[in-house]
Amino acid sequence: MSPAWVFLLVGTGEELAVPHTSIYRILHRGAPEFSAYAAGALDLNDFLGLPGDPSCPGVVVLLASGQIWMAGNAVMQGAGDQVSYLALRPELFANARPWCRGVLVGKGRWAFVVEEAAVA
Amino acid sequence: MPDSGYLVFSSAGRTVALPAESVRTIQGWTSPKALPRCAPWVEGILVGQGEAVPVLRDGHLWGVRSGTAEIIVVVLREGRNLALLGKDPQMASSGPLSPMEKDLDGPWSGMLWDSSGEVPCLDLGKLYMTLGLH
Repeated sequence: MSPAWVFLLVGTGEELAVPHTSIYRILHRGAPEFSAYAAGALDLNDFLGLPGDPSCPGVVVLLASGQIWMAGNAVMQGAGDQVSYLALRPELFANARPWCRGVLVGKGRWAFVVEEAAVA
Repeated sequence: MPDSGYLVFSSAGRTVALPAESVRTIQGWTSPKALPRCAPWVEGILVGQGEAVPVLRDGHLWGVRSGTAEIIVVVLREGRNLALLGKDPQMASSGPLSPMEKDLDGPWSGMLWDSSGEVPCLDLGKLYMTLGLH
């Protein structure tokens, strides 16, 4: 059975995908702990060198690994949202640590699957 | 010498050839999906036939960008696909390659005589090696 994915919005319309089992909590702006966690979070836009989208609400993503990320938004994969996983070779990242291990493609959807350990 | 001849096309304003037997598909322009923090040679990613295919950056072979690509040529070597950008594809018959000019460095196997003159022929083995695709 394929895993359910959580899609993290970054930049202006890009999506990163993480298995939902890797997510501990997602804090939306306004949650009591949001500011405290946001202060120490790694901004995924900064990590990827993408311009942020000011219209996105901003979420803090607490991962089961202990990592804390900031993304524009987070959306759970829908029941009818079928996607296929295609692996990417690490050579595409040259000397950088490959932060992406594949892509998810579906009807109108394209998301980069994150190699969590390389996002730091 | 390939039995099936060569595919000759324009890449960033220069004409190149590659063995036709290595060509998997030639397709119309589709904008590759940009891949952040990737190697400098990666223009982006295409999805085709259940596979994510890296696209060689426009003009990478020559060190210049053209932005005029109209086709995507997907080549296959040792089970690895790679997409090249270009325009004006045509076939050229088989023929012997002449040695490269000394001043043309790169992943070339020799020069092909075509109707348009002398055309450098890509050596995909060398190209894959320089890109780290091995």
